Amino acid sequence: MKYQNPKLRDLLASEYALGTLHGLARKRFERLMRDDADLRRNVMEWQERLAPIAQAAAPVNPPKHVWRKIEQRIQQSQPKTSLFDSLNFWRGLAMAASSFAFGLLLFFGLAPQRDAMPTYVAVLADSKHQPIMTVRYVRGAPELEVKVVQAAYLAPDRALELWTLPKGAAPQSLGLIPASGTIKLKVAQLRANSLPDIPALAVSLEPKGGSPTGAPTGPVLYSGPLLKI
Amino acid sequence: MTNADPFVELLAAAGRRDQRAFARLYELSSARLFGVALKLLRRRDWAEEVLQEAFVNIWQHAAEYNTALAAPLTWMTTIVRNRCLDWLRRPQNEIASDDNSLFESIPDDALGPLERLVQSSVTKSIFSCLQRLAARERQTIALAFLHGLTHSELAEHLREPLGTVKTYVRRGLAQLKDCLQS
Repeated sequence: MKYQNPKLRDLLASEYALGTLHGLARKRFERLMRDDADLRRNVMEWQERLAPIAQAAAPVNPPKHVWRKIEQRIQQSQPKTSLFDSLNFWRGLAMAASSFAFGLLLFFGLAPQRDAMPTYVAVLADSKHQPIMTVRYVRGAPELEVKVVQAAYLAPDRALELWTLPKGAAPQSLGLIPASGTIKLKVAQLRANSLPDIPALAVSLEPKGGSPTGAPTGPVLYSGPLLKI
Repeated sequence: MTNADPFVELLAAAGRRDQRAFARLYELSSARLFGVALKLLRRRDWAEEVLQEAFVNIWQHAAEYNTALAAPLTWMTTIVRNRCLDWLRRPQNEIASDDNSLFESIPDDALGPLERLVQSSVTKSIFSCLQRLAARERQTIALAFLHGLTHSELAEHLREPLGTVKTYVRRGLAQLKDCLQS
């Protein structure tokens, strides 16, 4: 493929950083960059080389209202913190929402049947406590069921990934889930005896194909406590 | 961009959601970044809009900023420039930039203000390298970087064929790189 030619890559990176790569070529190049760390590094080197030229622009004080608008907007915007912080935030929220969620479980008719194996259920809600999906797992079953109750729009280059949030350990992926409908996920790795140590589940937004690192990389969209019933 | 770069600390604090640090960061950098946006967009209202967008972006991504990759001001300048370039390339905005009167506001020697920067130690290397380029190549690079001109706008402004202008850009960039690496 022609984009593998190092000379061409460097030329495109330089013209991208300079600003002369535009229109469709610029968009196409940005798409290439997304999946190509080497190309991103190449562009960054060019940006670093050329950046001092910007100092030739005379400083001009912006009018006061610009800052006022920025201030308003950052106060409205969702806190976007590091993943560690946000997981803790979600864990906290998941615990706080316990009783609320339990009420919902009954509402969704997920109450356990007598004589059945212990069942684990979770209602995953968004930051506004809106229930988005339910997760149901019968101990010993090979699969876990995820039912989306509030379908969401998902960009074609994104995926939703379901995670367990074990106590004192890193989140573990249970697999990718759809933005609507019902799916059964194979859970060979989910050992039944580890379940008491999994107080909550969460869903993060990931690139298509799922997290490239094995840990959540995108924002946590939904979460909820995992309850044994 | 000196050793004790106040921007590094302020940006890190902004990444921890410290709004006062972010306000200070704005105070220290907004005039410079607004100047960059004004030069590229040549319209105050557009530059204000883009500056606002860019700072909201900086706030949202401050926690991801990595000192090892770029100096803070370079990183912020890149965000502003990219926003400006996106803005200029919107179809409805290109009509305005075709207006010849806008070009008249660009001095023929866009490099004039660059000359005085040769003294600055941080920027010395790129400016001494720029000075080694042939005049036309230096001019195309400055016009493209500072004023956001496309290849065809460069050709129009310099009254040269498109192919020639593309060669100036390519050759100028390649020579800059060689010079900076030597």
